[in-house]
Amino acid sequence: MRNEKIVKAYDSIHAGDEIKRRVFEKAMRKQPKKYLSVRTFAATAAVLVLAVLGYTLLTPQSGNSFFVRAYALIEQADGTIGLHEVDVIDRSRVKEQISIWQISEHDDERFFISVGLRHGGKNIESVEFSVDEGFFATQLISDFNKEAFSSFNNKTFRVAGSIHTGSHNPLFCTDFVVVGNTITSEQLYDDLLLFWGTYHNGLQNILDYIVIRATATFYNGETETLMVTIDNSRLARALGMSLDELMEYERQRSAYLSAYLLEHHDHYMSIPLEYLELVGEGISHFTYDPVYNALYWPGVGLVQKELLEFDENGLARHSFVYSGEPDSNESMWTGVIWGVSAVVIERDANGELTGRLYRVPDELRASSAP
Amino acid sequence: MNNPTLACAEDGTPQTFEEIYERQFAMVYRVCFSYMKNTADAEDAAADVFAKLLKHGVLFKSAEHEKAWLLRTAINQCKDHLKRLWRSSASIDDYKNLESANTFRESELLKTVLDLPERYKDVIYLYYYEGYSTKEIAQILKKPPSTIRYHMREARNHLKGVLENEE
Repeated sequence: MRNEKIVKAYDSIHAGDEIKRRVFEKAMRKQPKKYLSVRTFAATAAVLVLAVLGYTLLTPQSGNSFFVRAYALIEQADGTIGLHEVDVIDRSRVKEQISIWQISEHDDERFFISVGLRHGGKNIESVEFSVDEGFFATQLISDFNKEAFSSFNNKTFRVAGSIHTGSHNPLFCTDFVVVGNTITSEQLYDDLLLFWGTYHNGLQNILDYIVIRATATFYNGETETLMVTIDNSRLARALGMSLDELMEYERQRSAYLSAYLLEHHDHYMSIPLEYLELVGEGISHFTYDPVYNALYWPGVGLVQKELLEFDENGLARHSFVYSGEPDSNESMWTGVIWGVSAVVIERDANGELTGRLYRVPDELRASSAP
Repeated sequence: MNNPTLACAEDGTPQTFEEIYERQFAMVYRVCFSYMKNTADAEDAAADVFAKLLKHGVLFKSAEHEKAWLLRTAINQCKDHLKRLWRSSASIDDYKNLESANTFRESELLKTVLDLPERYKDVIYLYYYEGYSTKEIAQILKKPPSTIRYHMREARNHLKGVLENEE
């Protein structure tokens, strides 16, 4: 459906004859010299096309190349977390780094593991990734997510695991879209997260390694296949659990923390602000209208705007509890709470919101016992 | 198709590179300019698009195929150019020169559209200017229709105020 205002706006972009001629000449100059000489000899462009096409089809192309790399969040020398490419063909490096930074997500039926791959090379027309077990799925990364990633500091790498939440939280990503057991390079683009997924049944038998076949088709019709093995073994084993145990553990932890906050809500809301420690370093304040305000340190704290109740001073307050992974091989939630934070949202006369994050001193924390 | 030409129009008439260039240059340049936002880079990107057409000798099935291929190639080419610009270490003076090469005055609406994130800019251009449906855009950009509809929704939100104010 055309929109006249937009048509008019775009119509103001126009190139005169001079630019048109220059672009044509540039396009011709960008051809290899062999082609230029053909064009000089030929009377029409059609002959040139014949020459190019013939060359492409009949002459073996040299210099075809293909590589596959993965993105990994890696702690850098200065303590910050950076996004780096690692060569997935170098297995030892992958085992050491990718498995550590891999992201997983599950719902009641499926389990997803991120497999951020990048491919490249020379003379590649298309690339197809395929798996024999499981399937590919994608998520669209949200603007908020990108902002959060760009703001990561050395305290917040833990958030990376939780920020790729699934369809239940549109703040971060769109729904998972199950693509199938093959996905092509044309289906992958910026802002799309690639996952390998599987249904839970029998998962433990195939979880340790995801084997992905990456096949490049070159313009000359030749193909090259790379087998990419992504090691997931540490994903669950780092916690000393099987996958099912890990999922059960997460369920217990989530339920426990919710119950804890509900139980001690009045206590945390009544502590005067002057008793709390303002966290100066690592505060980030996002606004993501119209739904959320969010702060994180050391975990993400989200405040739904509609639920904010401002007092006469324009202040609204929420509490969060945060906890980490177990240090031992316990497969049951043992009630370890790292700390409690309070978020205060201040609304000024113009309706602008500012967030502050406070830490509740240990001596004012309610008992961990539910 | 036995005729080794670049394209074949719907009525079966063989088309040469020069005919395609004549027919599609304005569109390719418009897409390139919307990404690169200056004449010099838009020229380079557009030249690369047509150079690619020459190099790979694409055989188009129809006029629509020809247009869709050039649109997609132009968009991808510009993204590649922008990545290269980002990675290169050109001096600020280079960019000043490029800026001054712009010869037209942008409307507020155009400026807003050109400043949109790429994914929104693509769908706005293809939907509102070229008149493609979201299903067709999905085919051109090789993305799921649901993604295109999501981008459309977000893009409209970005443009809401400007579209209403534009004379």
